[in-house]
Amino acid sequence: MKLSKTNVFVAVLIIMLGGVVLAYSVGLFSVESKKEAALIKTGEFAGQADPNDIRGSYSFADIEKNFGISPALLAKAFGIDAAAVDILAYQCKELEDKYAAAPEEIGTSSVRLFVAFMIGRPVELGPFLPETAVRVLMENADGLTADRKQYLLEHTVVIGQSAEGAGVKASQAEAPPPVEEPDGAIPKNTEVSPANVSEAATVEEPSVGQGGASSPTVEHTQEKAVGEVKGNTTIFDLMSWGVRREDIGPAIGVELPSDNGAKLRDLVIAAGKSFEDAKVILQNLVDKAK
Amino acid sequence: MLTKKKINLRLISQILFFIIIAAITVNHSLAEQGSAVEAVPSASIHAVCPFGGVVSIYRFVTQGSFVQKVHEASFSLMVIVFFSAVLFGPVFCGWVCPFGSFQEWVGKLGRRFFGRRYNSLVPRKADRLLGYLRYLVLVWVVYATAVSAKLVFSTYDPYSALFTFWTSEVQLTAVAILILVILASLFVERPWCKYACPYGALLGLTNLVRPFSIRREPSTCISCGKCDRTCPMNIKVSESTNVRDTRCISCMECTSGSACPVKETVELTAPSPRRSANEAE
Repeated sequence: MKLSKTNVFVAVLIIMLGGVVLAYSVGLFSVESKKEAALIKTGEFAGQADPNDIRGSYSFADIEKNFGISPALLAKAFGIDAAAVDILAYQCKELEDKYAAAPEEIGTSSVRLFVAFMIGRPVELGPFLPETAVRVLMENADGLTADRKQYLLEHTVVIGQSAEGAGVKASQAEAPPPVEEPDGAIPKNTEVSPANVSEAATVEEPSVGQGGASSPTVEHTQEKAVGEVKGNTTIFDLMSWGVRREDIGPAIGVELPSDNGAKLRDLVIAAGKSFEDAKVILQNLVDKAK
Repeated sequence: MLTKKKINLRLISQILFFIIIAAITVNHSLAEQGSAVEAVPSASIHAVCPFGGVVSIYRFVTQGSFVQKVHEASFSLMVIVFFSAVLFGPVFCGWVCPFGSFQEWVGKLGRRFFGRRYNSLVPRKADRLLGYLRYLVLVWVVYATAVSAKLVFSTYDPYSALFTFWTSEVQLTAVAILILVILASLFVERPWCKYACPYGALLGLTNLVRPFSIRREPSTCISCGKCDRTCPMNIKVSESTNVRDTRCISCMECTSGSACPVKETVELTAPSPRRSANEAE
């Protein structure tokens, strides 16, 4: 029995297209995930939904369906403006665009970690979380172990709300006005006067990302600039800039440890507070001490 | 006198499936922006790739779920393609695969530049050795996917890049490999299929067992070598009576009625007692 090209052509069409139609008709041709997380097979949590199986296409509503965490809480954790976007339909993978400028990747893996920490399930460690998510966990996650708290402190990405350093430098009234770049950006190292703060903030205002979610600017610089409060600023740094130790704790509502090498950001986050707010207060202390 | 021009059915099939996949993936991009065309199906390129089913087998067996980005459709397509391959060999590669077709079309430009030297620029021995690379790629992809439960190959997959290069989903490595494949296609026919495609490697194994295979009748063969020169995969058809080479893609370009000028000499057939006797000799 021999087959001509015509025979093969017809056979290919019948097998390929017919196969697809057949598979579709018996419900075996889904091109989308059913959004049902795989169940944990063994151990203490056997039979429960596995946060490791959360996919980028999962919406916050899917997360709620599988893990019982409300979209509103997820939106709060990941800094999504619930008034601007449909948080039920917001997909985990959209976070990658939102936090594209972050020094560490924040995306679907961060949601997996957040969910697992929130409901106390096992998860693959490694991902980072934005500061807002860490705060939500500290405030809402029952039974967050000491190990997990420590992990969070070491895997937090601090998100700024405006241009790098603008919030800090805004208090420096003696600074000259900024020189605006042709494209409207404020050049680096340009001091920003109070009068220009709003302008500076507008220039690098969080851009509207996918689905209208805002994209806060991320603080990249971790090197220590003298007199500038950042994520790696320690108690000792502040003291060396002239701030009295006894003024620091009360100002930010945190009890200071004896170790002057402790990072202020970690202390603030561990206390469930916003480092962004604390940073402004601490910067004022530094400026007054100058 | 006007000669009747043959309709190239394989080209029609290739264009048809290329358009189907392009329409589905472009509409998927539009859907993500909220402007999909309702009448056209929409799916990611991974959801309609049968190789996704292959790399997902381990996870499906052990955990009952698919690797990220792979869905039920990939599994169904995998079964459909295997069914066709067990009967006719890798017809998927030769008649359906949009990336194989794309390389062939780019190769037509190369053929214009190099004429008969096209697709014979790589020494035969090197060509054969490089052909084993795709088995290494296959083993690595299946292993890495099983271990990571992620679609690791999408980072390097030029097929995926071809249909997503305008989206944020595309990986730069994959685009770089796509560009390399395009350039290589100007010298060598189907370079990706020959040297790197893990799915082609897997489907090629069916050439060893398929009932319908390319057979040459030595008693009528005039040894003109046209079948060898036409074969996009550089198989020496003229040196075998039953082509069992794992690189064959069942394109049938070598057969009588296509390249072979003698009737009933090179054909896609099931074994017959007469041919079996010839092959045994």
